Amino acid sequence: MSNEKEDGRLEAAFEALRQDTTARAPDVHRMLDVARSDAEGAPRLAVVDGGAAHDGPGTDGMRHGSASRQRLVRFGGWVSLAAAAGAAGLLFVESGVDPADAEFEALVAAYSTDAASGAWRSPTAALLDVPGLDLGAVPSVGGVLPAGSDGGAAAGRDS
Amino acid sequence: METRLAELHAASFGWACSCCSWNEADAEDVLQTAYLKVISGRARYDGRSAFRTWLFGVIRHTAREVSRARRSQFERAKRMHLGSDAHVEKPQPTAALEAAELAEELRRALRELPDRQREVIDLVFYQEMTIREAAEVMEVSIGSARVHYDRGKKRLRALLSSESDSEEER
Repeated sequence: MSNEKEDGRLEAAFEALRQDTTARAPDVHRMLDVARSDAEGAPRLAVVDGGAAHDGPGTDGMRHGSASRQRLVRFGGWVSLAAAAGAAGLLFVESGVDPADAEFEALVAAYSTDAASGAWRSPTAALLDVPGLDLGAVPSVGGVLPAGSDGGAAAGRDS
Repeated sequence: METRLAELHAASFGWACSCCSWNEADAEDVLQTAYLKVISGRARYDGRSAFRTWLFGVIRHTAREVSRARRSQFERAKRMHLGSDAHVEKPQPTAALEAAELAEELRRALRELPDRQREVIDLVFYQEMTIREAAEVMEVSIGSARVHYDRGKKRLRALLSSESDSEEER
């Protein structure tokens, strides 16, 4: 079957559906009246069926009230949070710098100055100063002998 | 505003039916809620699109909200549906009966379609909108609407053919 013929059949079926549905359509004036009275906030009882409530404008109003309350609570939460942050900041500024921190910073500064000038000595450096430590040093070749050493004996051994 | 709503009422009811998988009682509730939104100003027409496109968008959104909120109220809706005057069985002439059967056959087939395909097919064939207008109501791109339209039409044809075959077998 061609597409045109198929489309024609679909159109005919939809035309039948349109007529059938139009005939079943509820009365528009009644529906608009109900909508108008609901919009104006006329009291209407909520229809309860099977444990579930079908809400009328009354419950809609309540839902609106609940939403406003939620917004208010959320706003309050943010205000509290901002106030707490402000108070914490204020405390920090007023307390100034911690004395322990200041002492530590002074020690670090003193160490840095000593280390840079070569003046700093470790508290345990004295343990390394033992007698005769300087004898273990290797003399440099061709260097000048220290005064008081035996220069003649050395010359005889060389010849 | 109310005049425009009244003018579009039949088409709006058809669209609400489509949004509610052709459950007419749900469609009536959805349409009532949508009218309330429009009249109370909770939904405002800003003139950026055609009034019908905007109204159908409101109905579509309302149908989604209501279907989420009222799944458990199906039985109540069914009772309201049975109680309305529109469904009193009346003897119908043969042509009208055939048209009603064809309409019911189409409703059954439409219920089988995925939501998007059903929406675009309904907007184009039932509401006689262009695919562009349908895309606007559905809040999808025109390309996407076109894809849903092609797939939906193909599937609807297949469903209607299988329905006719089973009718003939009977």
